Amino acid sequence: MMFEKIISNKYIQQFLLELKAILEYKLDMYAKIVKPMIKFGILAAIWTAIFTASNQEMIAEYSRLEFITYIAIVTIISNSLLSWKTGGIVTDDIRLGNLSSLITKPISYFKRTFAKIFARTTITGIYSILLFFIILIVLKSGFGIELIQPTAIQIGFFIASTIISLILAFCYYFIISCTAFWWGETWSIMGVAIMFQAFLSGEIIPLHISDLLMKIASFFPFKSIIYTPTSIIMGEKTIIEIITSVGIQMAWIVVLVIIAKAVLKKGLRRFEAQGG
Amino acid sequence: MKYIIKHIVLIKEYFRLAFKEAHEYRSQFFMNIITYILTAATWLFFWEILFANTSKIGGWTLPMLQLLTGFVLLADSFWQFGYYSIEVGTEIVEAKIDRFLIRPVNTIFAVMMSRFEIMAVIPIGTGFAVIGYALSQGSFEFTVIQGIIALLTCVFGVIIFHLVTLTISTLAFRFGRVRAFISIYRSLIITKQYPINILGIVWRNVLTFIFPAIFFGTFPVQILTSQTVIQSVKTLLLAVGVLALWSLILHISWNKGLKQYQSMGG
Repeated sequence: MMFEKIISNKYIQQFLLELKAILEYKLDMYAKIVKPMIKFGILAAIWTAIFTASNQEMIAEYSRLEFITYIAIVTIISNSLLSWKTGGIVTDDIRLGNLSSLITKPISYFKRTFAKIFARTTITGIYSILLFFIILIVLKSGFGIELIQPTAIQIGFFIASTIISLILAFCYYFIISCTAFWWGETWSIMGVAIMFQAFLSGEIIPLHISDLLMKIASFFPFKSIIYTPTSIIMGEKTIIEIITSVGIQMAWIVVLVIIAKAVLKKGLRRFEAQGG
Repeated sequence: MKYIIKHIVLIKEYFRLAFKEAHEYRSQFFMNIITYILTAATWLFFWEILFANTSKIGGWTLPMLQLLTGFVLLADSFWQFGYYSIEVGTEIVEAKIDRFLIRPVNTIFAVMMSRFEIMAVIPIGTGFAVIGYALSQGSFEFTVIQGIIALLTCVFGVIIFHLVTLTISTLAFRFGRVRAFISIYRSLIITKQYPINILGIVWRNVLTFIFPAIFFGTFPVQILTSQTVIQSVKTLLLAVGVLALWSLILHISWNKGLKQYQSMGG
């Protein structure tokens, strides 16, 4: 009874429909799984070369192996969180006028879009994280290389923190996409948004490489998107610090959801549904 | 000759149309400039941070890497002009190339130019500004010819990138949707920001002959900082060679694909 009630929820239905649509294009799905592996391979090669070429034992307080572990985790998280795709969905809905039919239905546009994004992320995210843990096990049992030694608590918090990251990233890109109400197109502002998020979330380099970078990042929600889950699984935080970090993530969600809903409300007042 | 002149005249028309379209989204024009300024600032900051603990990375000094950032920004702007190459596969699958096939022009040229992105002209300034800044930071000696060769190498690199993307797109004639292949190919784009010659031989070859990232920044910087004029010409010839090779592959693949084309759409 309870299960039936959950499954008949309109947003769960939207999620399942999107999931079906994704599974239809299997080649696309496999590409999304392979892509982070290739990206990780080339980034690992680049940073190994940088370590060798600069004669440094440590960069950002990380040894070569730790740095590559960091890159692996970041690559998997950033490629699994496909929230930037929110931009395409929302902007097209606004620009092409599809939104007019959606807002007349008894559904929340915000939740509906999230259900779609969550479906896209679920498959790539689960596959990528599973693949990462398989690589960890193979490296440990086959080569004696232990990239990370997470406890069960750390793994639990990592998964929770990554899901929260997804919501956070979604809210952020939803807000940016809503600028389409005023500007029509959003691909340029999306470029700025992705750049900001990548740099201030620790996706390009670990934030603690520079005190200034860490300070700047603390004023924005981006740190909570990539850096928080990564530092949890890498065992850099105590339990108290983990709980605090997850608390900060939740606080950012509250802030961003309020902003997103306010921007959507204001944008809908301007919406002309001209399409074309 | 008539064939070439006809296409040059068409470019003028496409420019006019692209300008009108750009005028429609003026805010995007300014956001595009901001995007490039922020991208430049981010990477310059990145190299500053990395060089806080070291003075050289495999023979690369900080001004050289700043120069690399400048050339990569230039390459990004050049890429934007023909960004539509990534969508050609979709055009084939959805049978949207029919309207181009019936025209007496080169189909690939017509498809690419139909979405010519004129706004990319402005961000070129950001690339040149960063190059100027990097040149003021380092003491590089090069001739005007080397400057031109470096620029040409960068431009040819971008053209090769489009040629490979288009070649992958032609697979759509046989396999249908090919976005996945293009997506995998484009995942290597991250490499353009780094000095590629510090990588091992396998990656270096991949990033020269398959994903031409080495031509975007690494080679142009080497031309301006450490190569003689003769070596620079050799580098340019390599770019021309790779370009010719991919032009040929694209030509064959496109013509073969067209024979299978059924214009079904859907």
